[in-house]
Amino acid sequence: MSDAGRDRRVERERAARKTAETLLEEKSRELFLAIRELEESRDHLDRILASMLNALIVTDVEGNIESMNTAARSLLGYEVEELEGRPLVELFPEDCVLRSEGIERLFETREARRGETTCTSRRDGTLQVQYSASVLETHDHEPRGIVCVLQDVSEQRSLERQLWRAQKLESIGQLAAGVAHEINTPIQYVGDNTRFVQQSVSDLTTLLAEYGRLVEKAKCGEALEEAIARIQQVAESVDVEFMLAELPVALEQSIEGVDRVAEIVGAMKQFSHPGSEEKTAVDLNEAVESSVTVARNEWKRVAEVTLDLAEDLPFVPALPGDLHQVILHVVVNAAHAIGEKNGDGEQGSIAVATRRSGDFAEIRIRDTGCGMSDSVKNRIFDPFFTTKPVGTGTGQGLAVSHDVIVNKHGGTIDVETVDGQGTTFIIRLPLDATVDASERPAA
Amino acid sequence: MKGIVFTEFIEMVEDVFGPDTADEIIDGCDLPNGGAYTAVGTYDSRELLALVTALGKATSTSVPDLVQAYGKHLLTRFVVSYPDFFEGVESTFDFLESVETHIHVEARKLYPDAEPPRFTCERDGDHTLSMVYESTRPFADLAEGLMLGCFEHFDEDVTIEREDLRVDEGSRVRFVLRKAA
Repeated sequence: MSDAGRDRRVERERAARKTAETLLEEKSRELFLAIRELEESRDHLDRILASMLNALIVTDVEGNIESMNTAARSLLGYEVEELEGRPLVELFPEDCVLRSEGIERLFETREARRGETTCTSRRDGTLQVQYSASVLETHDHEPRGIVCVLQDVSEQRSLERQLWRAQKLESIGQLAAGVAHEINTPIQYVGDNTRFVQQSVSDLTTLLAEYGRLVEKAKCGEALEEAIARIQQVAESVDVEFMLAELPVALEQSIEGVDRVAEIVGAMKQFSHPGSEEKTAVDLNEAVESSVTVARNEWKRVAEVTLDLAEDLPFVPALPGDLHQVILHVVVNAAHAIGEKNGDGEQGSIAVATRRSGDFAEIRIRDTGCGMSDSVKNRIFDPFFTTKPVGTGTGQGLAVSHDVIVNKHGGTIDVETVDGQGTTFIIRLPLDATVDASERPAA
Repeated sequence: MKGIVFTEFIEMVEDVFGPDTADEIIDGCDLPNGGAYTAVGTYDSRELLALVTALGKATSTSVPDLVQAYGKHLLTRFVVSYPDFFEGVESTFDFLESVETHIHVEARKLYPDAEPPRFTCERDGDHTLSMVYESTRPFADLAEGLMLGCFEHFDEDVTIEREDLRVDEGSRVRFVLRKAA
C-alpha cells in the first residue's frame, strides 16, 4: 500500500473514531436525559399515588403484598414493611370472594372483581370497605400481580342505616292513622256485640229467675198459672226468640273482629320489629301478607288486592325488617298510582304474586295505576327523585329499596310499566344463603 | 443503514481484494464522510450501493454476486460479534425465524431509529420455510447471502428458491428454503 493510501486510511480511522466518540457523547446525554425523565415520571407517579384518597395495594404474582400508598397505610394502620410479603387476602374476612375464591381465580379469568367487604384496621377496628381488584400485567400480558383499591365506606354505610331507620319510622308514622282506623272498625262492632251479649245475659238471668220460682211452686204443689203468666210476660219483654237467634251471630262477629285486630297488630308488630343486621330465613309469603295488611288503609278505597302466593316457596335468607319495608313501599306506591289515575271512582287492582324462579324467589307486584313515562322510569331509583307533590314524598323509598334488594341481598329489582296503564315491580332474591350480597362481578 | 454493515464491508474488501482496492473504491465514490465509518453510526444505504458498484467495476464482478458474497461474510462476523443470538439455536430455520421476533426487537432497543427489513416466515412441514423479505432498500441479495452464510454456519444442505414480488417502492422477495431430507 502506498504512503498516500496509508495516510488516507489513518485519516479515515481517525475521523471514524471521532464520529464514534461524538455518537457516544450524544448517547450518554440521551441516556442521562432518559434516566432523569424516568425519575421525574416515577416521582410524579409516586406523588399521584400518595395523593390518592383511596387505598392502593399492589401484590406480586403470588398475591403477596409488595407496596401500598399513603392512604393504604393510613387506612390499615400498618407500614409497608409490616405487611410486605403477607398475602393480600388475609386482609379480608373468610366470606369475602377474594379470599374464598383465591387470587388464582383472578389470574385465571383476568376479570376484575369489585364488591364490599370488611377489613381490619389496627387503629379503627373493623371497617366497611368497597374494593376492586384487578390483574396487573406485564407489557407482554403476563400476570405481574394484583392491584387492589380500597375505599372506606363505614361512615357512608352508617349514615345510610340511620337514613333507613328514619325512613322506616316515617312510614310507621304515616301508616299509624290508617292502622288505628283499621283496628277501630272491628273494635266498634266487637264492643256493640259485647254490650248486646251483656244485656242478653241480664235478660236471660231474669227469665231464669222466673223459671226458678215456677219450679219452687210446683215442688210445693201451689197453683202455677200466675208463675207461668209471669214467665210468658218476661219472655215476651226480652224477646227470647230474637236473643237466641242473634247471640251466636254476635259472638261469631266478635271473634272475627278480635281475630282481625290480632292480625293487624301481629302484622304491625312484625313490620316494626327492629331490623336485624344478620340475614335470617324469611317466609316471603308471610312478609307479603303482613305488608299488605299494614298498608290496607292505603289501598282499600282505591283497589282490590289479590294474593297469589306460591306454597312451595322456600324461605329466603334476608333481612326481614328491610324486606317488609321494601314490599310496603311498592304496595303503597301502587295504591297511590291507582288513586292518581282513578281518583275516587273506579276500583283498580293490585296483584301480588310470589314464585320460585330458578335460584331466586320472585315477588311481582302489579297495579293498574297511572304507569310511568320512560323518563320517570329511568329515574325512579335515584335518591330524592319523586313525582309526588312537595311534602308528600321524600323520594327515598325506591332508592333505599333498590339498595336493600341489590346491595344488601344480591338480588334485582326491575320495573315494567306502560304509561297510563299500570306498573309491575319484579323483585328477585337469591335463595342460596351462601350468596354474599356485597360480592358481585364488575360490570 | 447501521455502520457495522459499512465497516464490515470495507474490512472484507481489504481482506479479500487488498487495502489498495478498498482505498481506491472509497476514494472514487466521493462519500460525504470520506469513508470514515463507525459501527455504531447510521449512514445512507446508497453509500453502500455506491461502494459495491465501485468494487464491481474494480474487480469486474457483478454487483448481486458481490452483495451476496458480502452477506455470507457478514453472517460469520455476526456469529463472532453477537454470539448470544446464536446460543441455543440448532438450525437455519430456527435462526431465521428468530430474526424478526428476537434479533430485530433487540436491535430496535439499541437503535430506536433503525429500520431493519421485515421478514415474514411460514413453515411448511419440517423441511420447507417460506420467508418474505420486505424493505425500503434494495438489499434482497444481502439477505440471500446472509441465508447462505447460515446454511454454512449450521452445516445444513438447504436450497433457496427466489421469487421477486411486485412492489411499488423498495423490494419484496419471497425465499422458499428447502432442507435436504
